[in-house]
Amino acid sequence: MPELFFQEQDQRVSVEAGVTILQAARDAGIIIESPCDGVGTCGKCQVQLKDAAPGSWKCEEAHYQLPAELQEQGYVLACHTKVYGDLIVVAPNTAKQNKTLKILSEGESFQYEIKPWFQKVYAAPKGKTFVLAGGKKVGEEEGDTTKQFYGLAIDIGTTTLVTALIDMNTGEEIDSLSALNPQSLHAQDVITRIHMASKPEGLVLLYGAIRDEFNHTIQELCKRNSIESRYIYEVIYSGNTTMIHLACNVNPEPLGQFPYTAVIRGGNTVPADDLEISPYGDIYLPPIISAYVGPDITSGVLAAQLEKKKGTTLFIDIGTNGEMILAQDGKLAGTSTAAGPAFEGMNITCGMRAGNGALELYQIQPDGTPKTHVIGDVKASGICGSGLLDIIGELVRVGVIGKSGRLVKPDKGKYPDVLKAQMKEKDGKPVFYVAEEVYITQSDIRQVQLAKGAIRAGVEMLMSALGVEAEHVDCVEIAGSFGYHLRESSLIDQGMLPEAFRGKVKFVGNTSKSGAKAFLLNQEVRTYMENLVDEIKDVELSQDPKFQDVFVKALTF
Amino acid sequence: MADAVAEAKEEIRRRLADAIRDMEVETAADTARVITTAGWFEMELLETAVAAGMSEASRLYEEGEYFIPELLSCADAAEEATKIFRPYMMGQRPEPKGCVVIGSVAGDTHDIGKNIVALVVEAAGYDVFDIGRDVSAERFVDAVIEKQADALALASLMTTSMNHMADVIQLMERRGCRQSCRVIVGGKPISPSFAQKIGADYYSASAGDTVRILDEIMKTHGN
Repeated sequence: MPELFFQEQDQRVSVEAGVTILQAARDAGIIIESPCDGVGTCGKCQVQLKDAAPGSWKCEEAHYQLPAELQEQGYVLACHTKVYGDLIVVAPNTAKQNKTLKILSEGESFQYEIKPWFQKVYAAPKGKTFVLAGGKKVGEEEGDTTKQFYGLAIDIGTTTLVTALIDMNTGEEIDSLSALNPQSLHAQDVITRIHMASKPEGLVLLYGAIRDEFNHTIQELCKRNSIESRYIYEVIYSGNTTMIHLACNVNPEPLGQFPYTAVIRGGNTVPADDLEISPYGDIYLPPIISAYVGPDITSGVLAAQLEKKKGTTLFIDIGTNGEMILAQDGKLAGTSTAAGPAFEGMNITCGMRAGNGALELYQIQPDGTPKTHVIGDVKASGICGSGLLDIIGELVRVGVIGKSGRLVKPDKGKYPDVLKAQMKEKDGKPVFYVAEEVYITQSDIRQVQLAKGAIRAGVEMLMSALGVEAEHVDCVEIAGSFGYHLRESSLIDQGMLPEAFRGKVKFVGNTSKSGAKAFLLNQEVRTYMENLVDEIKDVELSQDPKFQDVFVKALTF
Repeated sequence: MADAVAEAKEEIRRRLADAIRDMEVETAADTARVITTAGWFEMELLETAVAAGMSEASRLYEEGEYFIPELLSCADAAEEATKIFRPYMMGQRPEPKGCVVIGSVAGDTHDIGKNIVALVVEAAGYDVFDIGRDVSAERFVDAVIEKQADALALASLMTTSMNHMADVIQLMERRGCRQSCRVIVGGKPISPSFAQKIGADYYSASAGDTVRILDEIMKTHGN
């Protein structure tokens, strides 16, 4: 059997001839980032083969073409390269890279009474503490343990996880930990993840990865705060519908195919057998609104108290899926729109996550010189989602990018000379440099147009479903940790949001987590929200014949 | 004198093609009216002017100069002109280059990309039967048999639905129409190796690519 030596990880693996390098790495527990799950479209799983003998490997043609200079240096796509002989593989050690991710953990919230589903009562005559769930006794503990009473509110994002440790006696958030969702290393966007988890071995891998990460986080939180994990009784899973399926070890296949139905509807508890918490512990799943408007939005509606607001409020979570709710004097409608993973840096030539080296801010000053900021104050090595939207918004504003999305050539443009110097050619095509080695291409702009067009079309369709004009929207609340790093002007300048929203945009942060906290601490909001989601009008875009026209119109700047 | 008329025809033909390329819906309609008012009803003129405009629009789209909205606006201008020509074109439809059935496979409701391919292929002179989205294998095969299609173009935007392409090809074999009809697959998650794996004949990366593939098919398999 051929042997693979993964140099960076210092690990040797024997494999069957004919398996791909990616499969071999996965079987050995080595993570090679493969955002598209080995379909061959993203090009991010490149590894370098050292002194490879002819015939020891074979590359199949993939959608993504590696640049010739990389091929000459021995780079191949791990997902499309089959192993036939011994090989030395140089794959980056991902554990080191993802430590610098910028994740927001705070979100808007409201006042509520502390009245959790779980209760602890000390029975003095017996010297025991009873653990109750929904008023029924589910277990007992020796001595008086009523002071040790904890819960977790977890925001399960497609890319990031935020876990808050809550004291269920006081409602205080003791600590919070953020981490990369380990599933994103195997399959980055929602659809790719559904596809992967539709196969039994894929679900095993994805579920195992997130369960281990949860348990690791629980351990870490307990250690940091000197508490015992057996005193954690309840966990809230707040995330999009697909993430909830994957966190519950449920095959999400029906979500990936028209008519896109969810297996899990939420609004119930499940045993927390796989989590290292109290043996009596359980997990509450907030109710979903529709297949693509999940518990994270339900949490957001709760945290922002949308149904109680006077006037008209638009609530949007900008991400791979733009999920949004329009609330007009207590009447709610929701929809979701497939923006694609461009905002997470995928399919963008110099795209990357919001970690060290990512350009996250780009502003063109009145004299034409750009002001930039790079995460970690290091040399820019790529562009993250917020940086990308900033760049596009600014370049549209000053005319480097025309209304149709075309890069305007220096001799035809009226923009400042300092910017003209940044327009160069690469492989015969115009590119615009935003840092020494970082640039955007025409096709990157097209990707952003598709993504922002999808969000804008969703906003327009939702407003038309409730008969609301953009001018009559009083407040626009942007949720999600990604949204928090954006600026109102870059959203409006590029037309992701209508001009009429200027001055009305508010960034409310991680309401998926703050809402989850409310679900944890007050059992009454559970029933309340379970009833409310049934009244939210589900606006299904893919079935509406008007969608294409609205979307196409929204593509221009 | 004959030369002057030919010159005038050529000039107006160019004007209409330019109007379509430049997305000028009204100019396209006005120019089409000038042509019919002058009584120039030859197929040559009516058909080639519209086709030339659309083929230039397709070229600009492929070069990245145009994006989806521009291409669709060109198609609107072409449609306006064609509407005016239609009454005069009766019975003199030109021979199509070939016949193509196109659709998005089962489980997939995305169709903007597929619509663009249909548009560009039609502009290149093919008869296109667009049977929509979320199309079952049965419906694809029924259409291929009914239209005696030279080629079938299958689209999918999602990794979760692309495997249905294989179902269509298998059903074609079972119903005996696989030999007479070439299969082209395309869409975001599709790759040449995937096309090969499921037994498709061609992988297409773009609308322009599809036209080149069809031209090749008609050269090698056409009658």
